[in-house]
Amino acid sequence: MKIKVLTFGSLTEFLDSEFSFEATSTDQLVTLLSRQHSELKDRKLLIAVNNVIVQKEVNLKENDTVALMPPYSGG
Amino acid sequence: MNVNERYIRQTTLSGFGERGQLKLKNAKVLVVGTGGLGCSALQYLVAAGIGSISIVDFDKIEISNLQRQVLFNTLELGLPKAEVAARKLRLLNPEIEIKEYIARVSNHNVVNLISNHDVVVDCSDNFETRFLLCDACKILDKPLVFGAIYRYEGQVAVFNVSDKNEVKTTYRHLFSSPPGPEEAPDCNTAGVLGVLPGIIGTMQATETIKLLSGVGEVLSNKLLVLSILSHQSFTMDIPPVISQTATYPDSIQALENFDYASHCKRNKSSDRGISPAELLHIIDNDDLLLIDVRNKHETPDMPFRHVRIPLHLLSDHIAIIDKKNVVVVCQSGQRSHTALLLLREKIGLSHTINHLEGGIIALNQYIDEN
Repeated sequence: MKIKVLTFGSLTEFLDSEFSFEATSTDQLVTLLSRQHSELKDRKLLIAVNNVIVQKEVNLKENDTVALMPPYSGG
Repeated sequence: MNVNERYIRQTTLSGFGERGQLKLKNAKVLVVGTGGLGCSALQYLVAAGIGSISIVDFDKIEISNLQRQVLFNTLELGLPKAEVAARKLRLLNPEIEIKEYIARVSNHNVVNLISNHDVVVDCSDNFETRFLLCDACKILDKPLVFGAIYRYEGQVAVFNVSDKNEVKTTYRHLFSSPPGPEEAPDCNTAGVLGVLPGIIGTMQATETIKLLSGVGEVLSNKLLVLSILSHQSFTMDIPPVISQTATYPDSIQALENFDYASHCKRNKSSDRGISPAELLHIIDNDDLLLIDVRNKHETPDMPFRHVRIPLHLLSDHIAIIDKKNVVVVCQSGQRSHTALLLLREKIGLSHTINHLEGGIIALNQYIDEN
């Protein structure tokens, strides 16, 4: 599936803030991206598919938008 | 009813009116943290006429705060933030009650602090406090207005407030457990544009005023993310689903016994690093290897002979370590602490591993002062 990925926070230091990607599920997306970018490995991430946060693996459809966001602590 | 000139610009607002003002007057709000977010949120909450506001912060004013913590000035360096903030806010609005607590919020005082308030505003700057407030507000069923920042982006949400479907969510619905400290550096480590906490803190004040007065719709079960570089904002729905593996306290007693320091993987005293003075003392030793675990682009440069291996690559590059004594350094001492634990586990028996407390920031400060 061709999907759109949005990244936030510290992820934008090694990933574009928006790019297209091929993945069939959220787990597969993170696994494939972690292979290309070791900074992502075991990272605590919030994942949202089409603006809804997901806690478990979700299958992706063509043109889905997946947001990847680390927690922010600054105040 | 007597019209109070102070609030006339908002009491004449349709939908807000004298009724909205009375609701603010009768409300008690606790603001945790008087940093960038707190300095901004507090001014608008006080000006708007919230009847009673409590401020908690243990910290003192430092020169590097002034770029964004706009309640403070150069003459006040070294003074307690909560005290200075309260003094100025009383001048801004003498008609309300302002209490200050020069204290660190902990699981031993959090229940007492929160209990007397209607809304808690999280303006803290660390995960330990954020998860503590999240759990305490959940247990005590108090609305929590959350704000957090990273470099050029901010997050805002309103937790523990029911939407139309009677659904409530908390910070643990976003992140069921805290990240390692190196994954989410604070403003001191990562840097921040001063206007960002001004904007996000103002949004927290906005949500608090809306929540109390009943105007508009608050961000309950929603996370708003704002980038000030692009002015793009994203609002995400937070479903009431929490990871089953998450462990967190669900009663006052469990909260008081919960170890938030180890939950957030904070440095334990047994892992205390060496001081800048101690490092300078051994810096010329032949059997010392200095490893900088920051990423490639990070500045300032380490002023001594060293190798740079970013933390995420460290476990693949253990073979590089050709000296008996290793000192790991990073920007502020958080990532080097993680590296310390990793190296101790892998080569701790054959090597002496240390890390620099306070990182290169502390080292450069020490060198400047001496």
